[in-house]
Parts: sequence; C-alpha cells; structure tokens
Amino acid sequence: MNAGVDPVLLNLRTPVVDAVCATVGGQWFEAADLWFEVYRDPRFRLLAAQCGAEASLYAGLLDLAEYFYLGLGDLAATPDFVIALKEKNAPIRSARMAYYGRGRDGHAKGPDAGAELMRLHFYREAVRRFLVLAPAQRDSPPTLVMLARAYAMLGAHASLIALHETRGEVLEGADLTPMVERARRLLARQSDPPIKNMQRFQQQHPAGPLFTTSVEDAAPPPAAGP
Amino acid sequence: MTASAPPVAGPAEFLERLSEWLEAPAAERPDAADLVALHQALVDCDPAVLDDVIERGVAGARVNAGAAVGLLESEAALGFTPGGLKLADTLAGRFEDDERFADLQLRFQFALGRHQALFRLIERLLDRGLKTAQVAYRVVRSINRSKAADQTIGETLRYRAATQFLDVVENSAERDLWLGRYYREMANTIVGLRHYLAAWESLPDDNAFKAVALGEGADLALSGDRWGRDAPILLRAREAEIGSTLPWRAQAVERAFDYVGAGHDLGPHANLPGTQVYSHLFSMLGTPEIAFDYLLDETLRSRVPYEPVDCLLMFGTSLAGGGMERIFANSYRAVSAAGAFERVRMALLNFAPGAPSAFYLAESGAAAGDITALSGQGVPEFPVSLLPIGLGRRVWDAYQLILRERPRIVHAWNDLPGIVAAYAGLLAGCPRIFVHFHHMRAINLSSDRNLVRSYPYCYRRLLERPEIELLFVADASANDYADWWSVARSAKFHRLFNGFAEPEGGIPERAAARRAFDLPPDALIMGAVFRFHAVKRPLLWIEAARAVHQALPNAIFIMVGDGALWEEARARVAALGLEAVFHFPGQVKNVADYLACFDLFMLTSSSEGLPNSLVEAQLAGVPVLATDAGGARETFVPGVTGRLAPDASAETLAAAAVACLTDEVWRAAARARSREHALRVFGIDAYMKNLMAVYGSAPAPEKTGD
Repeated sequence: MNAGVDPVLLNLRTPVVDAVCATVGGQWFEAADLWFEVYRDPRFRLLAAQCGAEASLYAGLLDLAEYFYLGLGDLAATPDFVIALKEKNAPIRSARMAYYGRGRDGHAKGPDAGAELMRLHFYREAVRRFLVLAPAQRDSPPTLVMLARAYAMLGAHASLIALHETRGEVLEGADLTPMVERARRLLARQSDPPIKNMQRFQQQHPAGPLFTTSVEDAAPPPAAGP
Repeated sequence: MTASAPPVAGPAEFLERLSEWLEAPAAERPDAADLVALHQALVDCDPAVLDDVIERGVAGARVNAGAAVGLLESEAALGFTPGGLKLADTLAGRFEDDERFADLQLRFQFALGRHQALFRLIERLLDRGLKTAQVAYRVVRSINRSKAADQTIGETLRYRAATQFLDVVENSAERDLWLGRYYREMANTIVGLRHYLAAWESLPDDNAFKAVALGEGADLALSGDRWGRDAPILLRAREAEIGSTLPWRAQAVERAFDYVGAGHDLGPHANLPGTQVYSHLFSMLGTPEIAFDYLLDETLRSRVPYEPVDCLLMFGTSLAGGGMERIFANSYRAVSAAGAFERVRMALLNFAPGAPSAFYLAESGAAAGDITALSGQGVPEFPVSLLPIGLGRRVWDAYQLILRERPRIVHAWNDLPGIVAAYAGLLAGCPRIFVHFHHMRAINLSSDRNLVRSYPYCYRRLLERPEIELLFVADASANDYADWWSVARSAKFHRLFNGFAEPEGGIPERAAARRAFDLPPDALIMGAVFRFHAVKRPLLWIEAARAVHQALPNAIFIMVGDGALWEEARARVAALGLEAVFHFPGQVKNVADYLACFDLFMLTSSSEGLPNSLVEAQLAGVPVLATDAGGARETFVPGVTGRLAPDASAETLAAAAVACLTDEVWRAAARARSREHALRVFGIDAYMKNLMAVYGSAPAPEKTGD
C-alpha cells in the first residue's frame, strides 16, 4: 500500500496527511498552506481551523490566521493552545497596525529594514530582504543570525541546518545550537513514514483526538470484495 | 488506407472494409481522408445495420490489436459517436485482456454521457482487477468527473477504484507522474505538484515521461495562484525550457521571477545543500499580491491619468435576487435619475438577459444593452497577466471598459468587484475609485478562497493610493474590515447607509393586510423575512418562537423567504407540533403586505452588514428585535423603534420578544416612530444626499440623529 497510509486518507481531495506531517515536523509556513487546503473539506474544518491558526501564527502569517479564526467560531470554546498563541501574537498584530499606518515612507530602510521585519514577524519578507542585501551586509553575523532565526520560524529546517553548516564560523558567537538541534530533530521526522507522524500527532498534539475522530467519521464504507 | 485501395461507394460498403483495416499492419493504416470517411459512416449508418456490420467485420477478421487501437484513437479524435462506442465495445469483447480497449470504452462512454454503462464497466474492470496505470487512472478520473457532473456514485466504488489505482501505480516506473495526475484530478494541487516534481527528479533522462511530468506540473502551477510555493517546479520548467499550454501565464511568471530577484546573485546562499535554490526568495511570490505590488511600485510610477469625462461607472457582481443586488439596482436607478452625471454606466461580473443574474434589471431602470458583462474572454496583457487567471481576465475587460468610458468616478460594489475595478481603474488612470462594502469581513462569503486570503494585503496596498476610498453600509462593517486588514479606520473609510425607496403601491393598512391573508385581526404576530441560510439561524428563530408560543399561545409566526434550510425549518416546526401557528409563504414579491401584518419583526442572524430587512420592517411601521450581529444595532433607535437581545439564546430572544409583544404602549409608540426613523435615516433621499456628498468630497456622510 502507498507509503503505508490508508488510501482513505490519500484518496481525499484534501492533503490532510501532508498537513499533519508538516505540523509534526514544525514546517510552519508549509503547514499553514496545507491546512488552508484542508479547511475547504467540512469533515476536517474544525481541525484545520485550529491547526491552521497555530501554523499561521508560528509562521507570522497573521492575515491567514484571521481566516482560520472564523472557523473556530463553530467550536464551543477556542482551544487553549490557539488562545495562548493568539495572545502571544496580539502585540505583534498591534505593532503591524502601526507599521501599516506609517506608510511605506515610514518603514525602516537599508540594513535596518530586515530587523524591523523580524520584529514584526514578517519572516518570509525578512528572508527576502536579507538575501538581496549586498554581500558584505548579507553575510555579516547579525544578518545571518536573523536569517537563521527566520528559517527556524518558517520551519525551513534544511536551510537553517545548511546555513549553520556552511557559515558556522560566522554564527559561532550566537548560540544557535539548540535551534539547530531542534531543526535536525524535526527534519528527521520528514523522512519518517506518514503513519508514524500521524501517530505522533494523535498522541502529542492538542488536536490529536479531534484528528482521530475526524478520520473515523470520514472513513468510507468497507470495500466490497470482487 | 493504402494508396491502392479502391474508393468507397457508401457507408455500408465502407464499413464492410473494416476487417481489412483491422488486420492492417502498422505501415498500412488508413489515411486521414479514410478516417474522416469512416467517422462519417459511423455517424450516418442506421444503428441496426451498423451493429451487424461491426459484429461481422470484427468477427471475421484476424484483428491486429495495435491497428484497432489506432483506428479507435483516430475515431475518438474526430468525435465521440455511438457508432464509435459500438466499435470499441465489440473490440473490447474480442480483446478482454488488453486494457487499451477498456480505456477507449471508458472515454467513449463518459463523453457520450452513458454514465450507468460506464459504472457497470468500471465495476467489471475492478472485479477483474486493474492492471495498467493508464486504465486505473482513467477509472478514477471517470468516477471523479461523473461525480462532478452530478451523477450519484457509491462511496464503495470510489474507494475500490482509488485503492486499485494506488496499488497499480505503486509498481509503475512513472509512479509519481500518475500520482501527480491523480491529485491534479482531485484538485489537490499542492500534493499533485509534489509528485510531478518527484517524477521529474526521479525519472531517467531517456524516459519520455520525464518531460511530460515537468510540463504538466508547470501548467498546473501556472494555472494556480501560488507561484512562490510552486517555484521549484516552475524554475525547473524554465531551466529545461519546457513549453507551456499557457504561454501568457508563463511570460507573466517569468517577469514575476525577475521582479522578485531571480537574477540576483545570492552568493553562497543559492546553493545551500539540501535546499531549493531561490525558493526562499520566491516564497512570498503569490498572486494577486505580486500583481498589486508591481502595479503600485512599478507601473503607476509612469502612468499618466486620462482626462476624465462626466461619467459614473458602477461595477457590481450581478442583478440577481439578493439584498445587496437590489440596493445596487436602486442606487443605479436613483443616481441615473438624479442627473448628477452626464452618463451612468453599469458593468457586472455576471449578467445575461433573462437569466437569474438579471432579476433586478427592471428595478435598475437600465436596458440590457446598457450593461457591460465582464465575461473575461480576452487574454490579459502584462501586468494584468500577473493576476489569477479568472480575476485577470475580468480586470482586463474592466480596464478596457474604463479606458473607453473615461469615467471621473468608478464605484464598485463589494469585495470582488472592488478588486477588479480598483486594479483596472488605477491601471487605466481613473482619478477616483470607491469600493463599497455590504457585509462584515467576506471570508466565508466568497467562493474564491485563495483570493479572499489575499484581500487584506491587496486592500492595504490599495489604501496607499489617493484615488481609492471605501464605503461601508455600517460602522460595524467598517470596523470589522479595518480589523481584518489590520489597519486603523482612517478618513478613507466612509459609512454610507443603504437607501430604501417606498414599495410600489405603498404599505397596506394593518387590518386590511391581515384580512387579505385571512389572519386574525387581533392576534399578536411575530415575523421575519430572510433567506433560510445558516447565517440567519432560522432554527434558532423557531426555538425562540416556540418559547414565545408557550407564553403567548395565541401568537402567530410568519417566516417569509426560502433557501437551503427551508425544508429543515418546516420539519422542525412540524416536529414541535406548531404547524397551526406557523406560516411559511416562501419567497414572495409582496413583502410589504406581509410586513404590514407583523407586530414585531425578529432577526436572529449571526452575521450581518446592514440588515435590509430590519430597515424595511421599520419602514412598514413594525418595531424590531435583533441579535447583536454586525450593523443590526445601527438600524433602529435603541429602545424606541427596536431592541437588541442581550445574547443569542432562544430563551433570551423569547423573553425579549414577549416583552415587546405584551407592551402595547411601547409597540404603539414604536410603530409611530419606526417609519419616521427609517425614512429619515435610510430613505432614498438621505442616501442620495450622502452619496453625492462622498462623490463630491464633501464632509463624511451625516450621522444619524439618534
């Protein structure tokens, strides 16, 4: 059988297995996109709403988080893990409002622009900004540390690890070891069979029980034999 | 047919030569003219004769399977006919183990709409066990597309087909190509693209399907809107110089990559081991965001505005039978009649005379010929080609319309027409563009999720432009949109209440209205007018009414309207044994006649922009009770012409309703004030005054006096 996963799941129009694996692997940017796709399936909407909100908030995709919040309105109560993340991000959202209000002329310029974007959790925008800096600025220790952090927040583990391995001497001053170790651990999960990551999700993620019941409810009738 | 073959006299004779062709070796296949003649013969021949000829032609021949498949493929290319299907069926019976014939049967049956025969064939194939990836894919695709064509298909059949498909392709050398196609078919783009990319990376260079996988994957990515996410496959197609069936999209992506920085030297970052080259640079490249960035940061720097003429161009979704559409139609009529512009034009995303999209055509006062339908048939040029395909085509139409009309004001109604008109208007050089919102944040209302996801970004960028201003039907709506977009509500945000004209024929007197419907003159009547949609919570309305009934057994309840939950609502009332006191007249034209019967109008919505029904109830002299949804509280004078339920429970609503219904003094006073309030704040005259003030950059619309 394909990748050891029940075709009931692979057969779905929605990439729920992939979304679960991305969440388990801490690939937040990718997970947010995947849960957005899963959200359109009513059978998984409640699950996608909370996991999508979680992934979006980690990845700094606050507009997208607003999309998922509406789906949470169907729940009796917003799950604690989403509430905690939302509260943690409330100051960032306020800061973004001020940032938008200043207009483009009021935004930081040059080398400071990336740092401002990082403070506002615009991780992917920051990455782009860092990468197109002049080489001397781009490869300076402060920029590389911020770049590493942005990769970590987006869940771009391979990039973080590769950056650490190739630019280790520059990053030496900053203690990135725990971040890199975590990235290695999470990256390793991407090589695990999907079924293993699904079990991790069921056992360790706050939405694990909901995933289990959603899958059970989504199961088709038993296949008739020939 | 070989050059030496004699000409064919007629269909019967032609078909007689079938056996000759079916036996032909590869070098002696029929030529194009013969194939066309065969196709015509299959179309023209009497079915009974045809069956006999085909049976005899196939039975009497030593059929070369390759020649037969080639003949059927050619026939399919010329068009699917019952005769062609008969030929496919007969040959499939002859070559039961050759799935190429089953594949052709499936294609003919689906194309001819023979769904039941198709499903029976699929069952037989599944019972026998699918052998080739091609047919396994054809089976799942046929099922999927039949379902999309509203055919009823058992879950078991779908499950069996998917299971066998996955088993078969697992052993195929082109496994990932087939999975890419499978997920593309399932509209699961994100997973489909992963498989296409894996196929490109894993297939050897001499495998012809390698380039096919990359081409199909790139086309799938090009047709979507997440180019940053899909950059890995798009970049590989670019490097491999794979052609596209969407060349104008490919060119747009090419420009987008360059714009984001494809040519930028990333130094050591470009080749970090184990990572996708440039993928992080492109991760934020998505449409329509990139299209708005390009428009504002590049195109508009050199855009010269046109010289406007005294024209107002109104953009809407349609003139279908919805509340917003009615307000749009009335607004068009009122603005046209006011003579404030030399000409007023209307453009709609969906419109066809006589169709549901023209429901309010007469009410608008426009002739069908006055309306431009943005049908989106053209191919957009850059930078419009950066937009998602459907959006881009409509923007392209709108852009050309604006260039032709040169309006001094563009006024677009609601989110999607707003995006279309704002982009097109800015590109064309329109000096003033109003986007008019009629709901709370539109997340759950739009059918295009990807687009809704981009709205906050797009509107934040639009707000940077001096040409753009926003109108909202209620303060609640304005505040909610500002919150959604994470911006402060600025002077660009105008509140503009909807305007209502008196119903034709006026409001009937209460007693007469009740007589007309055979309703008791002295009964207490609570009613509502709404679509039976989840957002209106009709079942909550019924639960509250049930509690009212327990307190006031003689009360009568009237729910006007229809919708998806109408049957469920009626069933609920029946289950409660309340049929005798409930009325469900359905969707009616004479809404005012029903309103005139009511003693209280109750609305239980979970979300509203500015609920028209609450205004119209007051216009009919009916006090209102509502849940605190969106702009509901802005429609009435609190405690005077209406009340807000403290919460949205059935008990609370019922208690409030009973209090209103049993307080005759309050109801009498409310009746007297309701109409005056509705006319003053929401009358068409007030609306026009406020709208013209906004158009003329006069101070913001008046606040209500209450």
